[in-house]
Amino acid sequence: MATDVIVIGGGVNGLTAACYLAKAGREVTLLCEEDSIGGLCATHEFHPGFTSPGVLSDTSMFREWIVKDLSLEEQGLVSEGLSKVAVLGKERRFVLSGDVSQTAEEIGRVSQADAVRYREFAAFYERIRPPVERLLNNVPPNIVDPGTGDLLPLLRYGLALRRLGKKDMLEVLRLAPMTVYDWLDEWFECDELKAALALPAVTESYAGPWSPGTNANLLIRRVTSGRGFKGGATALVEALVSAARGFGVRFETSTGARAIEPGEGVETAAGDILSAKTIVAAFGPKKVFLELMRPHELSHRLEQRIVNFRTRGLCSQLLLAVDGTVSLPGGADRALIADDLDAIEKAFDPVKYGALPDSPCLEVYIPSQQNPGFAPEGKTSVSVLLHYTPYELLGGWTEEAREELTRKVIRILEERIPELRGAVVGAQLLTPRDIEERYGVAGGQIYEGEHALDQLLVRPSPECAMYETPFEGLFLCSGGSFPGGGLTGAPGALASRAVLNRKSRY
Amino acid sequence: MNDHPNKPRSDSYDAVVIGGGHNGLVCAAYLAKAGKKVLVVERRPVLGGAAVSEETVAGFTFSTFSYVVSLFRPHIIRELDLVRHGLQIIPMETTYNPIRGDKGLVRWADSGRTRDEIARFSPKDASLYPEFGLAMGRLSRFTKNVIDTTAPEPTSLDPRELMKMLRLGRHLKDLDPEMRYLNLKLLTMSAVDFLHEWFESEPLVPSMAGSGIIGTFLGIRSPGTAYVLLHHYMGEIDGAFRAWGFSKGGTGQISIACAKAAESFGAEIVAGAGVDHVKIRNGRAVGVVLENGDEIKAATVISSLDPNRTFLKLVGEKELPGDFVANIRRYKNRGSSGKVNLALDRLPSFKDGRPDISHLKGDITIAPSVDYVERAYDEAKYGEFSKRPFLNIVIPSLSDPSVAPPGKHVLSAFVQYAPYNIREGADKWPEKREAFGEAVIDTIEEFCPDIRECIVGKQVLSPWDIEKITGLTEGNIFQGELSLEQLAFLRPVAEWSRYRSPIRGLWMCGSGTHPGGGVMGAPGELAAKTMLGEGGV
Amino acid sequence: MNWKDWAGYHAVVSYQEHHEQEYFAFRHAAGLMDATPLFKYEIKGPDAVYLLNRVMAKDIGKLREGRVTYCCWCDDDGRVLDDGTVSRLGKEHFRVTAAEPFLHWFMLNSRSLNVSIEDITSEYGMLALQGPLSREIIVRAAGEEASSLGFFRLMRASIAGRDVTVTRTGYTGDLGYEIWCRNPDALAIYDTVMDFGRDYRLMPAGLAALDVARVEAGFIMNGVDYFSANHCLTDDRKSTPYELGLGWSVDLDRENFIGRDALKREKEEGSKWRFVGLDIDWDAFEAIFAKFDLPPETPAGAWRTPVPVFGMDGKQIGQATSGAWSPTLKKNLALASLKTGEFRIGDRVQIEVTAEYERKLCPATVSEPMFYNPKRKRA
Repeated sequence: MATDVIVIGGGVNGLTAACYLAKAGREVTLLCEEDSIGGLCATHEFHPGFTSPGVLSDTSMFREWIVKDLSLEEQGLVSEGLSKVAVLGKERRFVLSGDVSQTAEEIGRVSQADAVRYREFAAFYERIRPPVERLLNNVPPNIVDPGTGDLLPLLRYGLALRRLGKKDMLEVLRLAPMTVYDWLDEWFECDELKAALALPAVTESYAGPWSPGTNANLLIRRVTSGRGFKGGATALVEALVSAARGFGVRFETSTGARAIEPGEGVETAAGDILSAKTIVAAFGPKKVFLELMRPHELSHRLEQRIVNFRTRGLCSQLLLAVDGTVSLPGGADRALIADDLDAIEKAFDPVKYGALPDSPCLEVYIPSQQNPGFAPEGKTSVSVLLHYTPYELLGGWTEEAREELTRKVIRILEERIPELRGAVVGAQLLTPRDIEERYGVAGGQIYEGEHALDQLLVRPSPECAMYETPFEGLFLCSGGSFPGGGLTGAPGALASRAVLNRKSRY
Repeated sequence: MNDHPNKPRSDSYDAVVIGGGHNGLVCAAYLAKAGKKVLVVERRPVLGGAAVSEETVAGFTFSTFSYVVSLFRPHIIRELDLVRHGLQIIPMETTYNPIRGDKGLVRWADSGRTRDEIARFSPKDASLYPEFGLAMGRLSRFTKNVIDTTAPEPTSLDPRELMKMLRLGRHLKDLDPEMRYLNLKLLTMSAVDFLHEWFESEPLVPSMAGSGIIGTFLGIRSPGTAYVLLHHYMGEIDGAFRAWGFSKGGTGQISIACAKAAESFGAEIVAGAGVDHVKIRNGRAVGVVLENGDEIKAATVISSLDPNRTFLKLVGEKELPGDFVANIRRYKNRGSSGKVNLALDRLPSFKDGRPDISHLKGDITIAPSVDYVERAYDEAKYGEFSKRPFLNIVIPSLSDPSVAPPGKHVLSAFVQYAPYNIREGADKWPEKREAFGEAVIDTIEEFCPDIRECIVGKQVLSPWDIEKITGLTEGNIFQGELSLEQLAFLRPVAEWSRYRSPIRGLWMCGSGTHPGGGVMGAPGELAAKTMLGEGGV
Repeated sequence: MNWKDWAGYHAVVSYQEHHEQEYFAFRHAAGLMDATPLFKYEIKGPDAVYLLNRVMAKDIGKLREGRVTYCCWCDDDGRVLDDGTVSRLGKEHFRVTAAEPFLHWFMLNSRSLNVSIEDITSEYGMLALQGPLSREIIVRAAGEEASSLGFFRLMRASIAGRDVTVTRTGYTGDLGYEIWCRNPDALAIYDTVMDFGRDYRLMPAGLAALDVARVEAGFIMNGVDYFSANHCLTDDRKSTPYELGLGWSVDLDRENFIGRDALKREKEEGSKWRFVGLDIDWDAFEAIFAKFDLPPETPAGAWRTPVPVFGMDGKQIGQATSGAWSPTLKKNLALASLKTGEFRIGDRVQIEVTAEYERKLCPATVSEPMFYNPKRKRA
């Protein structure tokens, strides 16, 4: 079997890359086991009749320009309007959405001052969006070893920043290395609001709200969040798959990859050799270099850098089968449970020592609201992300430990979502270790590498930061590449650009 | 050195420097050397600010606050001829990390000896250790360029500024890609993550990482703490610790030497004369008014106090633009450390089975494990002082017999964490002070069982005390956190990183300006040179 | 007796006030030197060959059991980190020597490999028995079997009832053996070898004598003639195997190893530097000193303070990194790194000489870096 390009891994990034390459006229084979299509948002049945949406479900950061480029709307992909997240405080509850006025109004119910500040806050991000977006939607400049070709883009970023004016430019430079704690504290007074804004951003890394650099994650989220899609991640994956087929991508779904021979092809788990000059790997860098290649093929430097690429997963997923329906305030399909910034920090503290927090912070998602087929009629499938849980639990992830954690989380949920009381009929806990095993992401890190400043700017390592690798014909396109993990499609799209530009580069 | 008058000889000067700490004195010395008529006014009767030595217990000289000399710029020593004025720095050659029931880990100036020490915990780390020193040495050559020049101003289109950025760019370009990558990691990573890329062994990692948190309200696992590791390697290429030392006679001797140098150039110094406020007329500083009501006229007023105290107390909000005040308000001071100074009848025994005491002459770090230090931080985040704190202990009397009576010793323990804002409120520190001191002594006792029998005098300083005595806001020893968003062109606040302030004629020269805290002298020097260069005085 | 620090050990520089007697023992009879401070690593396990093949520039897979080889290892850019010997003690059992600590290097490069790496530096002693009569002595000490031990071969034997490994290797450029033993056994073995050697004028010898001998033999020394890439502040200071005359030890035609791409490129494009010997013109040397009414002053032992080397046109073309007056050859010798393209073997160049505090240039002839190479070394 021979083809121009083999894309290994069928997650959102792999599919995106395959689409772009096939659209550009390359003969593309996508190699991925059937049940792994969708990658981190691949679904599976966790309880008879109940389907899991996968660990990643938030499609609001998927890039609009990719939707356009690939005409995904023609595949039936529909923007959902603005996604809503319910903040379930002990006493105070409100709904955040992409609509600034609506959100400000909601916030106004708990704090008038914060409602005013929120408008300014949103306006600030709107103002600084262009240069940041520009950075996040292009192949990153090589800041470690800039060649003459990198100076121009660097200069352009500099100019785009300057165009913001002195005050905003300095503010952007100031805010990136900050802690979300200090930053949000400068803006708001309402604890629940601060916690709700911070939680999604701090959990991308080995960090709590007190950790410097977390504010960069918030910045990226604020600037790249859009509308999300009807039908959620499942609809996105379906659209990508059918777009790929439309562009002529051949799907090889009977087996996965066992070894990569750069420039030659891929050896499948079934033992066959698939030949191709170009291999685009939609797996995390650790898997690509440390599992699919032999040590002697790597330089010492590359190997050390990839070994040192930090992938500490701290998030578990609890899937609940619920008898009955669950509705969140304001018709939201997501909810956050984190009472204040200290509560998040306190949930982070124990994992550093291998222990579990007393009160984990929770991100709740109800997929059956978007995808009725995910649960039987009249029942609900609920996915909860637990922050934080260690990869290596002191004493091990024993049955007892899992049950205790499950009970603890259900107790918290029942408190905040009364409809859940006594209605949970089935539960499955995926610890970071389980996530690693099920989805093949190193360390169970669902962003395929912590979103720490150094790992965002140079991702995953200087020689691989621009999707190319030191190996002729081998490219990376997972969330372990710039601009990082999550359902953005950007690494896939930008990597395909690097593949297509290769001729002109050599 | 308490022989300074509390009244100035004249009522009019070219420049008045507020605060007689080392930066104020360095600044004054440079201005006087350039022929300016300069007055330094210090509130306390003793000079030095946080770089001060005091005989708190009869016969024992404590370096009350700052206890080691790390990065005092060598060119300042040369240019101000500080050795002639009595400065003498005694190098510290060891770092000792005691472990209960073990010999602990000592890093010596002798690389072979250090290798053997580390090899007891990890032969791999021992073998790798010199390479780490080399990499840090190479990087510190770049960082030196940053410390020794004023911060670049990225928003400016002034050709001089662009040239400076270009120059920095060139220095950065001279580094090889490997080093530039390392630099990025060093600036953004946590000390522990950064060190874990090299080392695996417990006593080595926390012992090295400890230097990254000193003076900050961050833990060794907090991103941004790796950078300070570099300071240990400034001027060094082989991993020895000669860059750090004691000032003979205590840290205050640095200030005294700076004061003498300033006076030798004609500067005048008054002590025991606090400034009540900066006199401002038509948006311009025209002098200072002392607490006793005396008024001193000056064409230029330079404050070496921290930004908060300078602008919110001595200038006053109403004189300043609203944006600037807001920025100063959000400038983080966050005192996080305390100090326990002990007068000892004899040397306590570290029960470590080592044959002599040569390993106690340098710095002794109580950081037995990464978790230990991180736990100390976790406790402090929520407003408690650490029950088992990270300690950086020195016994300067082992190297400098002049600070204690013969056979007796001075022990100085730098303690982290002691948050200024304790849960009960900062002003409740006086009630907590005793318990805080006991927690520190308990911690030392775990390693030196006989410490209590040796103590003949003690001084416990909480951040609240540090603020009370020195005036440092929240007791922050660096005049503001050394976090990335408060460094370089953002120190103390955006657009005002060049020692100037929105008030014409009012300048800053303390650690709250670039390049920041530590007994470096660089802010004082750079402020003076900037003022002289820009006709500010 | 003179001592110096060698990798954290006190090592003997010379047993007598002057090392000359010890040097002559190496060249005319035999000398016995304690080389224990050499770093020694034991590498064992099914992936031992894989690891060594990844790290070493030489194909260690080809090294047969019972043999020793000399090789170097490089960083990713093909710059030498260190040089040493690898002994294959068994199918999956190797011993590596190094001038500097390199445990971390072997460990870091063994991720996911089934191999054990142990630093045996302080557990194992090494005695270097070197000189034309060393065979007679080793045969008496270790048994007749040693008489047929070939160049760069190893054998297991017993000396003074203690197990040893004997290798026919050395750093003097003459016939010689190295005896590897467990540390507690070293003293008894030393005494026994000295006893057997008495009839052959065996002398204890120190580092100063060795240093002269190794210059004559043209053996490079880490930290003197080149610097480990790990210790260099600049790339210019680093050296590649080709630049050090070790090109013969690089096996490029095999699977990837650390530094291979860079070395391949260098082999195709040519090297910047070449390692050579300099034979300093004696008459000219004498004349320089004669101008000051002085006899020629040769250093008492080998020197290692680098001096510049110039072409006959006065342009600097490199540096001499060590040298010695050879008491055997009666020549003033130096080892140097010169820029390729600026000279050919046999050319005359000029080396800087200081006479009566004045810098002078003295002509010298460029040669291959091997001044002394008796047949018996290999026979």
